[in-house]
Amino acid sequence: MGGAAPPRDDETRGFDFYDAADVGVVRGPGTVIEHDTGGVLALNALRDVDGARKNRKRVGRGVGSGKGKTSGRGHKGQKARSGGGPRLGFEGGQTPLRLTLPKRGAHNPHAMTFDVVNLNALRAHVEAGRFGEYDYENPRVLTMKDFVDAGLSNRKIKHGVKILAGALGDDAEGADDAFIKVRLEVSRASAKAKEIIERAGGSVTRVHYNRLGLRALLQPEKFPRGLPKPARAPPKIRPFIDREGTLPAPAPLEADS
Amino acid sequence: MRVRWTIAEGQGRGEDAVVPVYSFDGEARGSVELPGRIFDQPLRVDVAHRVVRWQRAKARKGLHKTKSRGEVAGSTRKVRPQKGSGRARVGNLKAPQMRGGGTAHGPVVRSHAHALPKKVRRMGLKVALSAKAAEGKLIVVDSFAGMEPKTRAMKATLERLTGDLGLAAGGDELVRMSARNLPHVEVLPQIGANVYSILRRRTLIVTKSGLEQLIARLDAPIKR
Repeated sequence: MGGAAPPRDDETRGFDFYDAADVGVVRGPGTVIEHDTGGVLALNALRDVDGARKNRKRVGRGVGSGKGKTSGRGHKGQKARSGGGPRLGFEGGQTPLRLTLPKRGAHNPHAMTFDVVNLNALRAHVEAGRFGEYDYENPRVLTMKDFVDAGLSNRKIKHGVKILAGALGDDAEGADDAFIKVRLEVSRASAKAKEIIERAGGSVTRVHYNRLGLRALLQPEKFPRGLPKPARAPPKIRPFIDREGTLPAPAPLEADS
Repeated sequence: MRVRWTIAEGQGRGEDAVVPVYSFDGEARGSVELPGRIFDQPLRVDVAHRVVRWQRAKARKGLHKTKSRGEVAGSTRKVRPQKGSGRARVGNLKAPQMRGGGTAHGPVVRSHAHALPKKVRRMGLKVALSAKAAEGKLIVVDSFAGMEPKTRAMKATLERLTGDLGLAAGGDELVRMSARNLPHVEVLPQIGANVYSILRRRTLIVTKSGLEQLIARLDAPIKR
């Protein structure tokens, strides 16, 4: 933990984020307008911010331009010609660095990357109304689609969403009792996060979607001919999940209602 | 006559305003609220400029063309022998330095369109609407239904409403037909409301339903 973050002044995040007059290109209050000039925003008075656009560099157009004779390329040689010079990493014929060093490392084609969501962020989004009307007593099941729609997860999530306890997990015992009740269908959840959610009366179901299934979950409108059948989880993944994800999601609740 | 006025103090604070609604023959028909998030934005000249520039660039057809040396009609004959003539080497009469030759690096047919973020486009429309609202040149009409479909009637209506001629957005086919022979009047459907057309004209007349749709459109999230 570093020093305290600068105080977040909510007013600076709103409409008065910039002082309009400072931009210098605002017809501010009090500006005198001549009617026959075409009004408040006359087409002939429009202009961009100073420095918004940079002039093109014109080379080879005479001594006065400063980029005249050699066009900024110096005198003669490979780099003065069109086509630029030796390829990237070429060291003049000496064995380049990338060939002198041995290969190392490996690529795991089965690795799964999850979009991480911390419980604090989840609570903040729920309380900010990002999930719409939220029933704290009997909440609806939130799927990864809800997460994306609420802006809580990136819409480009690759394999799914993992719930982590985050700062809530660092708290002393009992300090996290006040977590809201949530029902989640996500790809993974840390043990700590699961414990915190269940202590608050909620539930986490770890569901499996393959890439196609996840796409169908997040963008059902892209499947005009119907949603695909949910894929079964590969044996190696089964220990990490509770069940396969359904399409459409969430799965209907068994016990309730 | 030179008319001067100043932009009101407090313009651009995003405050809602209530403006009267008129019938097409100029009678008061209640009022309507103009939400400040759209109609009372700071008058950002740079944003308006960018959007107008983008619109005008996009509208260009780019049909400019000169003939290069390969396109100029003519023989490919070598003009004179390479050696022995005692004169300069000449291979082609259509080279750019020749009279009647092609143009080097001349204009070619191309699109001038460039990208502009949707957020900027939308902000531009809000700025343009705010400008008209700040001038008091935004007039809301409940409907043009029932108006005689004549250009003469349209002209009288517009003069009554504006004292001037303006752009009317939210018009239907009959309105468009009635106004199309009037100079300086442009009729657009709501979806066609755009920064350039609004800033070009002195006055903006909007029908009530067009206004509602416009507000809904500007409030909808931007599709990515």
